[in-house]
Amino acid sequence: MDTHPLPLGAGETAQPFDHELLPGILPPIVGLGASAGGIHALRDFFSQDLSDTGMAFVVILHLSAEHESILASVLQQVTTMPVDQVTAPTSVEPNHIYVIAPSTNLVLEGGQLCPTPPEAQPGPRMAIDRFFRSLAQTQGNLATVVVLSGTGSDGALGLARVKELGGLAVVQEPSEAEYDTMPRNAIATGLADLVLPVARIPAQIIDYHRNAERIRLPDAGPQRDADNEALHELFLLLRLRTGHDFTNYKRSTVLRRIARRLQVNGVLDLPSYLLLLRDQPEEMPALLRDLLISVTTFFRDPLAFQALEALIPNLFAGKQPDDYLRVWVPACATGEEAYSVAMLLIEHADRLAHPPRLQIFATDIDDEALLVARTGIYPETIAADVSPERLRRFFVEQQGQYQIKKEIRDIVLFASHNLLRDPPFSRLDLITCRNLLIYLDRDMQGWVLELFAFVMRPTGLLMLGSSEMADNPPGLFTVVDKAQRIYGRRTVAGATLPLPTLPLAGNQRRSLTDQLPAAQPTISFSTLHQRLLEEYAPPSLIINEAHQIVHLSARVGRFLQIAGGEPSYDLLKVVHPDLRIDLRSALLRATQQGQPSDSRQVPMRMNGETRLVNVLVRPVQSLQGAQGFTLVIFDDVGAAVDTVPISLEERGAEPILRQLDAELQRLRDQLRMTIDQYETSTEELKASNEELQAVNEELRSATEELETSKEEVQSVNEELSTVNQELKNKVDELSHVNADLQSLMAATEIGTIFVDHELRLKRYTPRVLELFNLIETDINRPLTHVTHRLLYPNLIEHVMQARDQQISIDHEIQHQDGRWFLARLLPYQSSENALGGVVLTFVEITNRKLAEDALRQAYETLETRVLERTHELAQTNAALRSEMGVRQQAEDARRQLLRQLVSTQEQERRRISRELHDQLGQQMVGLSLGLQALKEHVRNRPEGLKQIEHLQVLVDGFSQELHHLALDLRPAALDDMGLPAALAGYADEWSQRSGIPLIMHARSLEGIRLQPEIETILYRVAQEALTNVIKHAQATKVSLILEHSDTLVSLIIEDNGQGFDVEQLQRDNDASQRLGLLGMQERVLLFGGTLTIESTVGSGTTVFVRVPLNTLPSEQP
Amino acid sequence: MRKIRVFLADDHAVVREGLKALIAAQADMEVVGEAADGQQALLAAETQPDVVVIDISMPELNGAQVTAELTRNAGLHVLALSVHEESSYLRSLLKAGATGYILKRAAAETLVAAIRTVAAGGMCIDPLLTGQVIESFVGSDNIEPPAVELSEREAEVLRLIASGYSNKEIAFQMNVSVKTVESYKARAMQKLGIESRVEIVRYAMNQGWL
Repeated sequence: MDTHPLPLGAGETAQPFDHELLPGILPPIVGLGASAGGIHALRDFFSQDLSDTGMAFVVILHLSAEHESILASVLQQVTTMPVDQVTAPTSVEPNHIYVIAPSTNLVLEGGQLCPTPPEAQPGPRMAIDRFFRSLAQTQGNLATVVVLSGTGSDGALGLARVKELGGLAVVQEPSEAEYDTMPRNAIATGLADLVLPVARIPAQIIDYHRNAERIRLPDAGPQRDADNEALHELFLLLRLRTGHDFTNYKRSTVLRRIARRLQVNGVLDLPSYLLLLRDQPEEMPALLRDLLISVTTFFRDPLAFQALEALIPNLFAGKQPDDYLRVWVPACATGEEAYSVAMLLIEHADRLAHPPRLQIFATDIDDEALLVARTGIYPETIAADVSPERLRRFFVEQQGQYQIKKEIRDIVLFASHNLLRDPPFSRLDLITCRNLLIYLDRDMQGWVLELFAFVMRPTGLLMLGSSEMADNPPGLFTVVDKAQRIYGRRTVAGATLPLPTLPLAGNQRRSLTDQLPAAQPTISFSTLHQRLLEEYAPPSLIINEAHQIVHLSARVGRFLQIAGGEPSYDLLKVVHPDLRIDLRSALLRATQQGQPSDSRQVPMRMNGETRLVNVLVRPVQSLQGAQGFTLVIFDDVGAAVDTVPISLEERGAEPILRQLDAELQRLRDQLRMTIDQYETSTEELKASNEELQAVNEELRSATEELETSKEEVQSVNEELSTVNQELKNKVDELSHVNADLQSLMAATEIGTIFVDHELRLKRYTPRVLELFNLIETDINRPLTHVTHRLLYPNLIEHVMQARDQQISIDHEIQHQDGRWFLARLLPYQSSENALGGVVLTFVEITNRKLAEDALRQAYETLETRVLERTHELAQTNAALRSEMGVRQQAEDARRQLLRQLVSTQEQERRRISRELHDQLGQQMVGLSLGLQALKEHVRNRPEGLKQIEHLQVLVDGFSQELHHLALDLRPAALDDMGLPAALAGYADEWSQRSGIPLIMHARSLEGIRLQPEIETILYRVAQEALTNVIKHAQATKVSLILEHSDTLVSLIIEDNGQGFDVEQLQRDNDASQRLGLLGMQERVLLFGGTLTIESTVGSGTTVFVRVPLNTLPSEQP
Repeated sequence: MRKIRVFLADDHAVVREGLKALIAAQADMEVVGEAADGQQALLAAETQPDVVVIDISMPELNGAQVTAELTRNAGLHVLALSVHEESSYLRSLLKAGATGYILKRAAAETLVAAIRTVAAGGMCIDPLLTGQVIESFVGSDNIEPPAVELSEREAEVLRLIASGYSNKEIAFQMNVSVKTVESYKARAMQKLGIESRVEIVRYAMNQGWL
């Protein structure tokens, strides 16, 4: 359809313009379509360096009608190219960016960008589709379109159109797009050349156009060179891999499609592309898709459809309710054309009381397209092509898409079918084959048209594309509407219909070399004679033994009639029905007898008159090698006249008898023939029956398919019901929540105000009225306009702060009447857009404030008192401390004194003790010894001896007394031998004196000397305790234990006497009784030791003394 | 007949005179030398005495030191005279090598016999002190560990008593009353057949508790 320059396309012919000149003067135009999220993508796009591409960019964005567009200024920030908003028709300059203005559509018209008013009716936006189509129309393969982020399906149809006319279609990678439905819908067309991230798109577009200038392709003419070889090989490869043969397709078209693939892949010549095709398996389907562009729209070319609609009643004429109205739509692509025809048919059928049944065969070789067609789901943008009434009548809208209703779907049968290869459908009332012929070369066009003529009913119509003609070969069709390319079948008498061979069928595919024109065969005279005979002799044909036609003479066609169903060579099937009976009996006769046989003057209705035909059957007998063949000659002897009645009158009775006889003979023959015919019919019926069964099978499978579809639809329906119910529940829930929220707000004693991002009042609770002068109509007024009774001059400032910084702000604010409120300003974010607002709440805190004040006062009073008291206490403390110091000093002094006293006392004792021992004692010893010596002298004088002995006793007693005295005062052993020895000595002496056994245990003290003072004190304690035992205990056994560790020396004196109540003793004021031990206690304390008495009445007394050691053990001196 | 040669060391002249007189009265003894202090007493060997009678409490060198000197270096027999009745004095003199120990106050009666014993190479300890010596000699191992089963509590109480704790302290440590401690103690002592705290200590040492 689009040789370069471009032919008129369908659909866009409403405003025809001279586009032949335009590609030359217009720069290549890149159309960019975007919707939601598009500005971001556009900025990314234009951030790339595009300043010197020589291209112009037109940006179509869905803009809000209410707002000024800032798109141009936004884009201007990122590009050096001038950016203009198009508000008036504008010429397109290279290196310019043009953006759509709000509330307009933009189309390329007459080489100018023209803003047009938008769609009148509300509906999906189709600005992008509109522009893309006009761009495709104007620029053809120079057009480039880019579909970017957005919602909806706008752009998809326009993109398809661009692609159909050889342009480049690019789509933003959906995973990258902010809103991916527009890119996804564009990709779903299967026509996008490139799917890329925005950032990489500009470079690809530039490459694409640069490649276009460099690509080298073979010329259209058949030349033998490397490129042609490559092309040939490419076709072979295509046929091998896909089964599709493009040899007969129009060479220029095919070449242009291949060129696009070269551009897209960035290779420069065919041989390279061929290599790529072999290497990359995914390229083959891509190439096939490009070659088989499946593009069509509903009611494409509306004028043509109007014309067709006017002709439709003719198609219905004469149809009975049981009859079929059959339509064939070859190359139906995604089904729009077929459905459009179906709509027209149904619309007319609806007006009829008893409409015939409708059957539309829609075929294509592109299985993917067929899949789309069968589903029957189309984007919402088809609303541009289909009137609202038809949308309502024939479509079901769901999820932004339209689906064909079952009613229409049911009458359209989609099938994979290659017009050039597979047997055609037959007995058709209408064939619409638009924009298929343009892809085929002239020979093939002719063949297809012959085929159409062959399978159409005489009253049938053929509808072709706007640039296609049905005049090749001439004479097949009559023009019904020349402008809209609608043709009727020519039903000329004598015209021979071709029995189409199937040029591409089976193994008989023609190779490329067959295309070369065959040399004209030389014609011999015998052949010439033969040809001439055929020309002038009555029409004849040759059949074989099976009655199959093997050769036809010219003009024999009028005696034949091809019936519906599979084409047949069987003469009896294709012969005119009026001749069939006579021919059959003649053939029978000829076969049985091997003799020529004739059926004379058989009447045959043809073109409204009755002709008489002699059917002559001549079996071949003489010619060697041709036995079994039969020549059948049809001799038209002229129009039939009512001869019989006339001849009866003329000839009289005699001849009547003969005549009757002859008649009888004839009837007899005829009867026999009728019997034969009956048998044959039975066979035919059998065959028909088989055929019907096959059809039945087909129908059953169709039914199954329908059943499946029905179930699918039912499940979808159920799903929809569920979703609907869910939505309803959601809505209920939402309104419930909303009501709760309302009552909550009314019930809370908290004054609340909602303001939006512009600080306009949105909502408030009644409590707020105490603070703000609000009335119902203040809603939507700015908060700044509302006066309030709070002492809060920064309110607005804080609200703006909360909104801008997204922080919550708390303040305690006083009311003019003295009450206090806690004002809390909370920013909020609404879920769907980024602009939130602020919630202001006011809680009365007067009581709390008062309590706080009271508390603070109480606290302060308390604090003062505490401070005072602390001060007093500190003073008292200091006084006490100084007194304690004084006392401590006194105590220390006393102790010092006591220690000194003890020490002095001990020294004195020691002195006296020594004196007693060393002086008095020695003298006593001397005295004693003297007396002993004296005894020797007075041995002979008994009185003197007696006297001396008496003196000796006195001295002894005195001496003993002296020893005890000294020992009591201070034993020399305490100084000389150490505490254990001294104690042991004392214990012995004590035991002897008291007569009470004493066991002493002094462990780990042998040879160890303690501090002299400690030894003294311990000795004295033992002395005192043992004295007490004698005085009070009435004991029979005493233990004395002296033990010593590194840190402690302990002395234990235990008796088994009568014991006493220790506490009572300590309470007793009779100091004399306990003076001794008390004094000891005092002295032990001087060395930091302890003295405890444990006693139980009846079981003895134990005295424990422990004195800490702070000096190391010293050697015995 | 050879007289026993006696050397006298005493810082008190009165005593020396008395001793001299006493020895002189004996037919078999003679005083061969005298010393008034420890230093002089060291010269005793020069007089070749059979017995050195020495007061253990003398100025300069005391008796024990002199004794050690004389017995070890000169091989003399030393008889100590002492006013001290404590066994510790006796022990230190015996260690130093003295073979006799006589209390001064009994000297008039026992000295002569003691000199004879010592001179003859025997040992002589004042009868007033022999009791102590024998007791300490006998009493050291007179405790037979009785094969008695003590309860855990009883053993614990005894162990703590032997360690020197008072009943009150033991009660606090064992978290029981003083009465309980007393009854444990009494029961344990009855089982062991002992009557005093010292015996408890010795029992504990035998048991290896201390």
